Amino acid sequence: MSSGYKPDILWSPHHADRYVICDTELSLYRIGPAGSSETKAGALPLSEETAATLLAINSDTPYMKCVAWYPKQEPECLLAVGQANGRVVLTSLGQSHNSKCKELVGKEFVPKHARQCNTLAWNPVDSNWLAAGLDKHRADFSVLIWDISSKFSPEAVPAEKVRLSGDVDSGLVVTKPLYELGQNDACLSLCWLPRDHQKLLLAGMHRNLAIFDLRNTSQKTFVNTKAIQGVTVDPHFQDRVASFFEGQVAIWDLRKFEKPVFTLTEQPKPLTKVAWCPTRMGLLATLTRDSNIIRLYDMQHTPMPFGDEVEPTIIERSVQPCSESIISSFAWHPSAQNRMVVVSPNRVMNDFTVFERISLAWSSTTALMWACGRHLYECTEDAGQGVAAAEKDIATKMRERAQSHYGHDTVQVWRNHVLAGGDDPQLRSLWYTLHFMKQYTENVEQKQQSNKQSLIYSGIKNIVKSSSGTTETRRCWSGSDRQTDVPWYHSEERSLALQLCGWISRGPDIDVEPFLKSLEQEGEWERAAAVALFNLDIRRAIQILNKGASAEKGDLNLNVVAMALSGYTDEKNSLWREMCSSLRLQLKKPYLCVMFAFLTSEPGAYDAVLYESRVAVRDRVAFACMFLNDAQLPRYIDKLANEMKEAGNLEGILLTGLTKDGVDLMESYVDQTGDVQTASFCMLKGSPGEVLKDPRVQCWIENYRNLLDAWRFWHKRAEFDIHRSKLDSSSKPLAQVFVSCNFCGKSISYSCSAMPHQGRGFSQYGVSGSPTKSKVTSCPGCRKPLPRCALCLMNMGTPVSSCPGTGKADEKADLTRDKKLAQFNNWFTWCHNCRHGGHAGHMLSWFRDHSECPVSACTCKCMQLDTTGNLVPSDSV
Amino acid sequence: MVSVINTVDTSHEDMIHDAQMDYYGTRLATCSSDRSVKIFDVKNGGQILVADLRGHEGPVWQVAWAHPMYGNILASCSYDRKVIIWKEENGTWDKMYEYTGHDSSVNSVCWGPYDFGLFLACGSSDGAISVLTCSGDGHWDIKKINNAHTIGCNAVSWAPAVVPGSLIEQPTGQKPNYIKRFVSGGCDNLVKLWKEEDGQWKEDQKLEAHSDWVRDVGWAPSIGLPTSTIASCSRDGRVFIWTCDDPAGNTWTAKLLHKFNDAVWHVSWSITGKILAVSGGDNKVTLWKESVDGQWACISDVNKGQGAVTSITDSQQNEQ
Repeated sequence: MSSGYKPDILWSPHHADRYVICDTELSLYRIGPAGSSETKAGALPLSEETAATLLAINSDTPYMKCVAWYPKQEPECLLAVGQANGRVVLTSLGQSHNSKCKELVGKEFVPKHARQCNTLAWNPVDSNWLAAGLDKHRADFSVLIWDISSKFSPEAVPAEKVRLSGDVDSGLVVTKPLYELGQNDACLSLCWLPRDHQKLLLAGMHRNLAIFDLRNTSQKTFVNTKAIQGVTVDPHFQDRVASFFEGQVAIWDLRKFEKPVFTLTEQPKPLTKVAWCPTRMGLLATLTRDSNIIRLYDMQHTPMPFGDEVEPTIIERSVQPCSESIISSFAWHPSAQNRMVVVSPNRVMNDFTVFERISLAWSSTTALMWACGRHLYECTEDAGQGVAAAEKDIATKMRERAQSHYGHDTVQVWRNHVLAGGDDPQLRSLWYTLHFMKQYTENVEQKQQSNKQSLIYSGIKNIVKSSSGTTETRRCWSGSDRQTDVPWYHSEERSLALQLCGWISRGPDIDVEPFLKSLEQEGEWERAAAVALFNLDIRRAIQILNKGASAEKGDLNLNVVAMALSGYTDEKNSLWREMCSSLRLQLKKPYLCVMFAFLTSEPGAYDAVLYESRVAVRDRVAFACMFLNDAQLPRYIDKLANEMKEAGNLEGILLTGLTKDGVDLMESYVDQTGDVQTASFCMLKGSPGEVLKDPRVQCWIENYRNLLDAWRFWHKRAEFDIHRSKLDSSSKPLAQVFVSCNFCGKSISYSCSAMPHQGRGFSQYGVSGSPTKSKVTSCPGCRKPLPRCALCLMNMGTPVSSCPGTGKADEKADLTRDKKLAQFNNWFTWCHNCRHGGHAGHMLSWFRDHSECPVSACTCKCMQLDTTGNLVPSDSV
Repeated sequence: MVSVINTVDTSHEDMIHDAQMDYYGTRLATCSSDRSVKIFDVKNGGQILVADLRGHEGPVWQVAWAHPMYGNILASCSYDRKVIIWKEENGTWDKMYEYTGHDSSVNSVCWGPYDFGLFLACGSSDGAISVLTCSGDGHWDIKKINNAHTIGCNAVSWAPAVVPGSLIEQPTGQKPNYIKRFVSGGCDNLVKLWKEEDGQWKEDQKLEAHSDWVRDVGWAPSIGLPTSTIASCSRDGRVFIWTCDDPAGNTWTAKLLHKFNDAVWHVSWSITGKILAVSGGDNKVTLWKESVDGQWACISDVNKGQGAVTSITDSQQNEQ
């Protein structure tokens, strides 16, 4: 404590929740969680979580210059106070008043000549020894080591000096120190060396640091330096000492005491406190006068004998524990990691933790690990219903979708969007598009028109380009003879496009009725009405709207819309037209909006319909296919396709198809979402296989397979590979392993598969089993028996039975359940190292409980040879 | 969106510097100032210590798992200037190789993409970066880039196997020719890109934006195409996202993700490269995601958090 009235702070060495603030008096505080029952109403908040309660105040010792807390557990609140006149007084705080404490409290240790006491230090081992460092006096020593257990020694005390400290019992005054060191010198700071408790490090006025050994006080090691303030030993590395002078900190290694190991960058203002962090290796905190910043020096490394020339790297950091206010002093918490309490000149206290470097790492299952200090945290994405699907990370989504067999429904292709969760409109559109494409190709196949088949997957954009023979007609409003002035276009290709949009099913007739019915079923009233209207059937549209209004949870406003619709007139200047074209903009529902837009538009100028982005792309495209002429249509489709491509909107796959354009579109979709799963499955559908050769598609597929691997979805990956090889024959993996006979060397896989070989084997080896099930226990080439399973000792080729008694029943059950001849359990398997093996099922169950090979005397740890041998797939079959 | 916090008891005696999950997410490797590397089996949310690897003589800064196709291999780097490559064989972990070619603390290790072999980059405080390549017979081939970063290199990170853009220019059917590339960050405030040409490592790009030490760099996994993305963070509190649309890889543009009030220690990309986790001196971990319009937004702010606070008090009691 350099200046008398600035508060300093001291942690209790044994109570992690207590500390003392000393300025003119000593105040004992207890720190606790803020707002808890323990902390009473008068508690001072220290941080968001903690508050301090004042436990005791002691103002018995005026003129305090320095304080040191007794290091032993008992008595717990004994403090030594060094005063301005050089006296050291033992005092106590709080409740602890046992006999030993009573005996010691109030004891005074008085030097021969009065001068300021600068520093105090208890010996860490012999706790009766208290070292006091004093200012210089010509005729006296500057370091006095007192034994607090020593009794009053009357002979040396001048009576008047006793009186100085008031009416104390003279029996409590000690004047004879145990040791005296440093004559005609001053001591600014000192500390005991933890390596050897008989040694003291003193920092004196004569510009030197000196190490004294109490066993031989005449000998000392010393070094000249200016840095003689605040010597302090690194608690983690007992040969490392810090001391300071003005703005500079010197770090010493006591084994090479000649010069500082290094000095820290000088600070402009004089330092007031330097302290090693007790919980963290090599972290030094420094404070300068009138500053709001604590500067931290991170010498994380353990010092090693690297040779002299290596400059240690020091990471410097500044922290501001209480924003703008000046810090008077600080103290590290003795055990809580990197925690300190700081105190301001006006005694405002702050509980503060210096945060460590946090290292981070994602795991493949979207869990995040981070290390902070000595703690390691793991955090995972919130699972469950509470989280909106849209907020989930794509990796989580893909995992969930893989589990639900997303992409594998090849019959009802549209259902894949349901497997994906059914809440993504883009995926919905994509899978319906693929569904319609597939449906159409199947129809075409029946009609033997293979040239159309490749066209269908090239998207509407290419279909309308190839359009020829477009006929223009003026159709009537259905149910009336009135001809519309709306030109209506038709061609084979346009009708194909309508099919892909899902408006019509097969056949040359434009019949949207089935489509309307399905929309009605799904309750998409506005959309159904709009489709009906675009097919020039106002009556049907009105009927749909009425139905919608009367349906459960129906919107009664639909009736109003129906009324408005029924007043349609094609008079150019009618009031109806005027009102509709202005009021339609206020309609919130996009399909209602485009209905009136259509009715009020000039023929051929349907921008209000075509560019209403809230209307599904397929509906807009179908509309365009009916009402745009051969010049307008390709232009519109091109424009829309480019828009979709730019936006990475999967609805655009309808236009681009699974062509290079489609890959471009998918690319921007994947760029945005990272959804390689959808991309892989979608592109696999492109049956001509052209797009599959695109390196980007290959890359998505590989990435997806890698993800499945990393998630340990091995079954899912196998399923994906099978699915892929069905659609893309070029990706069929080659057989990597075949089993050859030990005798003739020929492959026996033929016999294991589907050879209808019966007879001989069964009775010979006494294997009971259904005669329809073909089993072969000998090589088909040379008729020699196959090797035996190491566990059941049967020749390979016999089926697995889990237990001899129930073997028959099992087999029958197996037969009914699965007709496959070679189930996985019957497969051959063997260790690549020791060559022992047998039925896969037997081996698997053996290695569930054992680590060594089942063959006696073989010590091979077969399963551990493979890094993945002990891993379990995390997906279900 | 992320908030569940479990504390993992590692029984490390000093500060933990790194924790990495292996490829399958079933094993956890941690390293600490207590000079040890520990390996845990992660099962059903719990951890079982399976190995305590001793061999470093100083704090161990970083660990990295190799791809499992090469076996269970872990690399660790330390202040003791060593890089140790550990391998599990028959259930026991042993040193496979020890590299002592650096003159100062080795701060970062990172395995290259598995498709092209077993190779590793390490960055050191001596300013050099070494690339160690396993030749298969237990021999390691070493290439050292001296003076890669003056004062020191803090982090290295490899480009993913498919360098975006490299594919598009290829004629179809021809296997793309992968150029090994990595990014490094150092005390010279620079982010540098390196590439291998004719077996030699050359500085490819020098990215300047930070005004203080670059603490960490991370090359995003490439799952979409065709942009390359790199994140860098610095003591200056800033995190930059670098992107390159140019197939040749020459034009990189920086976008400031955020300016934090304190030093930023680490950046880490999620498996799909869609989320960036950032840790800073304010003891916060934030998660960032790029929106459709290319803006980066903080989607989660994992505070020092209640979970963390309770666990700290628990362990205090243990420590006493």
